[in-house]
Amino acid sequence: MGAAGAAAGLPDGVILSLDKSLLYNIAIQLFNVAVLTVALIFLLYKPVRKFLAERRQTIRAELEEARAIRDEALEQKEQYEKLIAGIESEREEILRQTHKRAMEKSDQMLFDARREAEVIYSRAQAELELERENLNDEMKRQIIEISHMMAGRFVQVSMDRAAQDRFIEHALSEWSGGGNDDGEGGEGEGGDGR
Amino acid sequence: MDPKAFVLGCSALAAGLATLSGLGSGLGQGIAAGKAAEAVGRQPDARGEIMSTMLVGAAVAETCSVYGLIIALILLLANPLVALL
Amino acid sequence: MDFSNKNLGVLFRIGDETIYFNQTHLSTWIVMGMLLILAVIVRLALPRFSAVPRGFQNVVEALVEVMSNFAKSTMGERFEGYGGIYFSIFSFILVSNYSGLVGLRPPTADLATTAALGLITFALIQIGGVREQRGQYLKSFFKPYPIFFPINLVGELSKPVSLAFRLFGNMLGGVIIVGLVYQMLPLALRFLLPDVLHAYFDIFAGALQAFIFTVLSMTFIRQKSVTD
Repeated sequence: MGAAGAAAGLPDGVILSLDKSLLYNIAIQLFNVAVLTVALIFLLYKPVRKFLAERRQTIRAELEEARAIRDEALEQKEQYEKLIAGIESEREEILRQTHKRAMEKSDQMLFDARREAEVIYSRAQAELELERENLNDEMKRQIIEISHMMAGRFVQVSMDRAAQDRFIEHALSEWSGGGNDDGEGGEGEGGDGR
Repeated sequence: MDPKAFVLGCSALAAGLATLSGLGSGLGQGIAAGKAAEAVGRQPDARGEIMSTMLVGAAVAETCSVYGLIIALILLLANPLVALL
Repeated sequence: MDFSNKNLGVLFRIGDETIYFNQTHLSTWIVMGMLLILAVIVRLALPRFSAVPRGFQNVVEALVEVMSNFAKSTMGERFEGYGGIYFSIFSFILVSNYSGLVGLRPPTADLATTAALGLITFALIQIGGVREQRGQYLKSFFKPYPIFFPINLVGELSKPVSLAFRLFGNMLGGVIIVGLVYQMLPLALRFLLPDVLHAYFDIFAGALQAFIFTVLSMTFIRQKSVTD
């Protein structure tokens, strides 16, 4: 007993009625659902689908772009790696070359230094020899001088006229007979004569 | 005996009998659920697929008992037999 | 106990027949208004939709995507338009079934609504069949033998009837059972106890019936439209 319906003078409602009013109600609901369907398709379904399709497109484009960029980057990386590998080998080559050259140079320098040292050494040796000879000469001369002086004094002291003559004679004969005696003796005689 | 009362009483009985159609569909749904459980046990990966298939099948099987319910409702609420009296 | 579809006013009169404005019409219009407002909100928010879906946008997108993909996968690329129709019908049935949760009488608990939905599916099945098979469609009723024509005809007519009555019976059964429990319980117990029933009859069965109506409709359309 619908209280509200009874109050308004309306008939009771039904749960299920198979009569003519059902057909009208079906028509009403058909209209309602059709309106709703059309409205939802044009308000909700199509725009959202368009949005989704656009987004899919955008994402695909972005993905492709990203893939292209990645490929490019990979290519560049490969190039750089190749370049770096080239640089490495070049560096090694240069290093080896430089090393070799340095070795050669150092060998050369060592050799030069040794030769120079040898030259210097031999020169020094020669000078030393010369010096020694000079020294020897000096010593001889001094010895001669000293002996000359001693001889002079001895002669002054002990020589008389006869002995002097004999001596000169002996010296002269020796001079003429053994003139080919070593120069030193001669020189010594010469110095003595002066 | 009032013929209307008799018709209405028989209609009530018929409505009760009509809801017995739920028996078959209940049995069928139970079997379907059991088979679905078996299938899930055998292939746990296909759980979603099995579930949706089972639910659709169960709902279709339920149509039968829903028809019984409709007939019961018609007999109780929109009895066409009373109008024949 | 009164589970009837109460009359709230007079809608219009045709001849000696008076069409009353009943609860079903009221809930239908409320559901329609809700869906339309939602659609307008989405339409207005669409330009501001982000590329990464979040929250409400996610739900809308998922529903649209699922319907469109479902139409495409069950019926093929050419039938994508059906996706929009069944997207709308699914939304309507779902919201209608859930309208029982806020105290309305679900529009789907009225045979008029479900019969209207069944007739829409019936019309789409026939349109699809005629458009795809042309003359062959009429012949298909006489297969495999002409004697099978009545059976085929009944089978064809039973499709919208079964769709309509399935939805109607399930929803009305829910309304009656939940209503009976409400009547039975004293006022103090009416708060938490019927929630279980609401969860089953409104939420679970509501979603399931909406899904099944859509799936079966699409399957029927495919059967008649796609010739292998």
